[in-house]
Amino acid sequence: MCCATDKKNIFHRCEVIAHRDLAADIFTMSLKMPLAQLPLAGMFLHIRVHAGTDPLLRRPFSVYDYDERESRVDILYKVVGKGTLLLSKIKPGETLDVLGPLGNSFQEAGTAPNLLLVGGGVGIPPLHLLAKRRCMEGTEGLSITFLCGLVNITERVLAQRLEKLPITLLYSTDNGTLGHHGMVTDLLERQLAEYNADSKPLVCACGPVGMLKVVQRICRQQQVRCFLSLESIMPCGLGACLGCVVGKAVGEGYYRVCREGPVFPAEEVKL
Amino acid sequence: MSDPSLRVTIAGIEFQNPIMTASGTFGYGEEFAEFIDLSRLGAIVTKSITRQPRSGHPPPRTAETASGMLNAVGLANVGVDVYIKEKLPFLRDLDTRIIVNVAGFAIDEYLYVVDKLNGHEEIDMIELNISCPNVKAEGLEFSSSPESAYECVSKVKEVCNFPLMPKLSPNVADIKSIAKACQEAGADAISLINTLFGMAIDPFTRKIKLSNITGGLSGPAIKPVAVAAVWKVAAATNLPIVGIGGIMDYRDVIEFMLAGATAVQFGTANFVTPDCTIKAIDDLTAYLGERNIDDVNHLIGKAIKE
Repeated sequence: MCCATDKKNIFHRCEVIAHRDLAADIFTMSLKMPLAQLPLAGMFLHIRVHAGTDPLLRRPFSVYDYDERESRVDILYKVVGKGTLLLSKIKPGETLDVLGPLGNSFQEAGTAPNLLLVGGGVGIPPLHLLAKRRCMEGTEGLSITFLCGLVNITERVLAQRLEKLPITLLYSTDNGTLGHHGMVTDLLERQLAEYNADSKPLVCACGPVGMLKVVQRICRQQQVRCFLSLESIMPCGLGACLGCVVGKAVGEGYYRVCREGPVFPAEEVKL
Repeated sequence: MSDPSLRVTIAGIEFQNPIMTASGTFGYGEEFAEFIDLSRLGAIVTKSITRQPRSGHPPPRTAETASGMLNAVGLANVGVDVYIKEKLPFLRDLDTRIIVNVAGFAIDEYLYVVDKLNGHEEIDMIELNISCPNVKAEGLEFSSSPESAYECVSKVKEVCNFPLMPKLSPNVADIKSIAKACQEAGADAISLINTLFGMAIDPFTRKIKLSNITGGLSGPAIKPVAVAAVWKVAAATNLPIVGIGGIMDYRDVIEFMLAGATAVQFGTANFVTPDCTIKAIDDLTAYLGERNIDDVNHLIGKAIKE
């Protein structure tokens, strides 16, 4: 059913047009979706993984990629629990109840000439969209370095579309099977040293909260502008339930990750 | 046949249909205005308002459970002064009824908030949160005994210029006795149930899932508890009842009305399907039309005992 014309249409019944098991419980899913409002990098879809009541709540997924002509939006996810396991069983041709796109975006990164992107595991998708869109708008005067933190080389599929972009791509793995043996934040420190004082990059990061805390600290110490995209348990996604909050770094109170975020200036949130 | 009538009357106030939103699940109303036509609702019940602004509990504040969820948001709200200045004006132009939910930690705080709200004509009714289990404070345990419920409701009733609807907790030995105490104290209606007391622990990390340790259980998991509570209170009092608890669609609306509710509130369902209320209004209309029932009031209390 359609809503009144003055209402933003966030209600979609989307056909799954492709669904691939890439490796290590990592999947890409393509959804047929009207793109009256183009998703910006950082925005998310709130997906009901089945029609029943257990699990009851939707699951948020960052937009990984989209194609305007095909009316197609892609997500990239890893099976981590009951919700994503159910999602992984959906077959092409089936439909899903989708809300979105919701949330804010990496707005400032839309124009910055030097981007240093830090993606940890399934934190990579929103940063992929950012990098891809910036490259499509023109690479002249643009420098993007993408630091990918993975558990092991099997997770390289998370970066398969990054490998096609004209960017500098560096890896770290927990077990040393690909790139730097250690933390992706080690790479961040090393990379930041490479920039001149007058051409510091804008850092954008998405990944586990432990990683984000280190990114936040490094960028504060080195006085580099930084934006973090946060993940949270998110019952409604619309700012009503107040379930997905993150503490304000200054003063009292909380931000709603779904509404004021998911992207925040690093200095504004208490992780 | 013309369209069936969905109008219901509670405490002398007419509602265009029996579909309301439950406090704490619909923000201040404005959060949903971008997406759905709020003027179609029977009423909007806004989140609990307290005397002072409250930032609420630290995260994690919610945890999903089997067919439900726990929450311990901690009555986060802007406080009554900011509410009147910044949130209430938005609701003025909507063609729906406005019910403001009031919470407090002492009777004086309820009285303070109600006194501030008095005279604001856009408000149609006050729902009194005497039952929220989330905050360990004296004020929120008024629903735990008939005596304390009576004291709270009667004192608020003395100063309140709006019809008054206490919201009852299911976490009591005998909900009928609380409902009767509210009736004697002058309540104009009763809403029930608030969330059930609950807790969840991760078996692998051993971590308690809510920062507040315990929280309120809501969602389809609690619906049978709520239907039974409505049934019991309907038999024990003469007050109009607004049923709450796990309502997901029009079939649940009908179930609550058959148990004795005059209207219902959608809560957790707003998180799952933000347009659930609008869909329920359409589906309820169709249900009545298909069965040649010309008035939704004919459903109230009409459950058949086998």
